[in-house]
Amino acid sequence: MRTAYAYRMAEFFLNEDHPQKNHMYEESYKYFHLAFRQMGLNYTVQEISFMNTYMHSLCFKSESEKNILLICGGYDSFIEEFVPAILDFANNGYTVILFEGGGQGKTLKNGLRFMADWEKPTSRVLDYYNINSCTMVGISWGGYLAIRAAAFESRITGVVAFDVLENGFLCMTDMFPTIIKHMVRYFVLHGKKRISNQILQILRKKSLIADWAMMQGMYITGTKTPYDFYRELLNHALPQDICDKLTCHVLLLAGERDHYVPNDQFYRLTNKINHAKSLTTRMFTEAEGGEQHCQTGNYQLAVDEILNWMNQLKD
Amino acid sequence: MAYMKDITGIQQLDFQINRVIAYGDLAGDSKEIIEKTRGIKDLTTWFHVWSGLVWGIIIGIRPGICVPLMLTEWPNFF
Repeated sequence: MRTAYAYRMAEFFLNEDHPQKNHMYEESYKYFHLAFRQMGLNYTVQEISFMNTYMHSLCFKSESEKNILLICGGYDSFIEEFVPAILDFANNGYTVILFEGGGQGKTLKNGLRFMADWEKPTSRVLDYYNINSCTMVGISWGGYLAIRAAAFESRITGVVAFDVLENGFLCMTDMFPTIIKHMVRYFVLHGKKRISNQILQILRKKSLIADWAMMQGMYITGTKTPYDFYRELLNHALPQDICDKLTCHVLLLAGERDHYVPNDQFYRLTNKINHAKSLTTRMFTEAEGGEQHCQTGNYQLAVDEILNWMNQLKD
Repeated sequence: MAYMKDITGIQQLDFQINRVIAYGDLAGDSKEIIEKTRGIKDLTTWFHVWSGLVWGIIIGIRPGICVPLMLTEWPNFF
């Protein structure tokens, strides 16, 4: 497992065209599955046909299944790396199904790009496993993807944003200095491609992380310029009309010092959800060690919160 | 109490390192990871340090022993 994570981290910031990128991914994948077998984990790997290619999925079937938990990641994740964090769900009577939709892990390697209308891959996964009812957890950017899927897919009876992402465009422009941020937002929103690309190219040269974020974004979305990438992100939003379609149980999680997703997105999304069967919100604090994005440093806090929430749902 | 460790001084890199450390011993020797990653200053050193950790684990090199750059550049060399 240690080798798998080290390969994964080595691969993480590599450019799409780096000669070692695929090798590092494949080694990471191989060592993750070797570790799962050594740990004696009872799971199957499924490749689910979708849009002329395949989505990668892992299924941890519970012997005494009390519910099904569908889990997806986000912007830069592989499902294998989540496995240690989700074992508590499997050990508590939940059949856990992880999947990679477009733009993620092995599914991206299969050629499927990141997509905003996440209900499409999700519905295909539910069909494939013949699921009539489940709870869905979206991790990181998956906090947007899962809420979006739940708004359109009635078989999702409960949804967890772990953590909340209400607007991907605003999130991915928030890393810039204030004046630049507003300029980028204005120019992208008004279709000013040339000036947008000029500013974004300067920002890429000034910041390693901005450079990586845009490079990764263009890679997963299949866009050719930073402007096109940001235009694509405009689709990754939860406007009122989509929130109004949410009628299942909803749990929104956030960390008070999340440096990726601004906290105002948590409050904005909370206020938009009016028709959910139930709405539970939880902002983790620094005092309890859950202040970071996805409660990094203390995943157990969020896992326990989700478990308790699922266990008290009545229908 | 915050569990995030400040290691490189670059927030986003620290976040990724902490993602791994948070999984505990299963995912890595946190002491070794912190010691090695402290020297990361950009994405090139990030790659070399983590590649070095891969080889350290595979061939049993212990903390403090330098992994030749060749090993991190050409993992298929052997």
